[in-house]
Amino acid sequence: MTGIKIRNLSKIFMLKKKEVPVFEGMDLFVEKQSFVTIVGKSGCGKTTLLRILCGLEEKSGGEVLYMENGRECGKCPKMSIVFQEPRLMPWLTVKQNMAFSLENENDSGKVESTVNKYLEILGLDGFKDAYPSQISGGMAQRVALGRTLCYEPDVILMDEPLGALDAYNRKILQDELIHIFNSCKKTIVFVTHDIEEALYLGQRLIVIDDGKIMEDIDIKENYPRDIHSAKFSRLREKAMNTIMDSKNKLAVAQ
Amino acid sequence: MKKYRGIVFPLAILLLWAVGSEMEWFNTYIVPHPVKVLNTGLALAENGILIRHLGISLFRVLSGFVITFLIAFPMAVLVGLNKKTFEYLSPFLEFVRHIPPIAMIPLLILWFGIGETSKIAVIILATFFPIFINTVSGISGCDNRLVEVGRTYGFTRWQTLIKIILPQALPSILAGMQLGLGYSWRSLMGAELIAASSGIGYMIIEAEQLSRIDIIFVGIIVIGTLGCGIDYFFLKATNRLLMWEGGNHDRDKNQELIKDFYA
Repeated sequence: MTGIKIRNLSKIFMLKKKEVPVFEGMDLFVEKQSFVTIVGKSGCGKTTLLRILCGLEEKSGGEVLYMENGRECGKCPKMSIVFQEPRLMPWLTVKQNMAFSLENENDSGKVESTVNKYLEILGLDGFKDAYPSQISGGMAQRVALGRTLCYEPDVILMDEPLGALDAYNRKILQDELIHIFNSCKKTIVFVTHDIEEALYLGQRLIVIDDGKIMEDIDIKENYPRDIHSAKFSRLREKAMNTIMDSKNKLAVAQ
Repeated sequence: MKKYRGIVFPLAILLLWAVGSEMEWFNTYIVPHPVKVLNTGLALAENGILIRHLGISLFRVLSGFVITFLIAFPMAVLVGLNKKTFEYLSPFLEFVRHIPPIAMIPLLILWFGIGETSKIAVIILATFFPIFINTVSGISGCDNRLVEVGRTYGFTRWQTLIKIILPQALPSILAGMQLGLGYSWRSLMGAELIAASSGIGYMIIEAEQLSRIDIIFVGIIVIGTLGCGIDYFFLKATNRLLMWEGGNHDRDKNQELIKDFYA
């Protein structure tokens, strides 16, 4: 068992001196080199979970353990996050933005070759000298993905990275993501509110609602997937019902 | 064609001035003939008087500006990074901001004499605020989402400052410097008019005492022209740094906003 173990994790925000729990007692194990997708409504705590994992947010309780062969190793794997927005540095060119994650890498030859490699993989070669204001949103998100890949992390966290893209760019980047996952075997935790996207990409679908894991489904299906097959339709229905059910409950309770 | 729209108005004034002088509408004691002003200007340029005064004024502005920047910029970075300090400072700064540097001149002369120190002090007073306030606002308004990017790649605080916060604040910082240059030029002229023995401002006040209205005109025209020139060269020199912003067009807009803030 190698991967990230989340045990009894809780996060409470203070809003106007009132405690607002985002989630409490969450347990989850993310296997190394797996592609996990997490779906849920906005505000269900999925973004917060990613932010805790990459250290941008303090947890309020519980533990995040890094396991190696069934034992805790205490060494945090190299992690990087792709945000919902590209978050590029507007004063840097595409190429400089991609090298931004390698600021602490002293070997400039290595930086150059790594950046060039991912510029080519992501088809950004022709735009490497453009500034973020000169490229499209889809292109910008591609650069953000490139920046993360240049960092060469073991774990890539993705917070609805394709949410703001049009349907075509989205599809293209989804397929690229699958390609990247297949070729470099990284652990990917992908958060989205789009169940279809989650089913198309993930090997495992986790449905979070109200800060709890409601559903945890293994999807052993080869890529590329036919999202309209009977099996996927059933899965989609199931995940959707889980989310909608709890919403109804909430409405009744209120 | 658009480029030439800006010279229509100055040309009209010049024409009115020339025609009015030819038709003897004005008392030459109050409004000298433009040709006379031109000749006086050329004569002053030739015998070196103008150049000498100009050189002294420019030297004062540049040294005062550099000293101010060295004081205001590090202070602004510290204050901008720590919003609490700004809360301590802002009422006091607000108070000082409303005192025109010219009003401080009597005090500065008592403290520093009429030599160079009091001139530089006036420039510091005038230039400090635009540089300080713009830098603080650029730094404290830094987009936290970009800072988070640095955090996820293990940036140190220093790296975050140098690689993310300062580049992002650069447009504001440069806008503050540009405003500051203009302010220092204006305030220096004021200071030289009140107490000085050299400089363009002194040249004007000396001409007043000698009733040389033509020299006063030369002085005023030189002050305005040189102010524009300094501004122009500053923009040219710094434009390359802001290439990513899309060039001059955006910068002018930016300027307007900041000037509104100051108005």
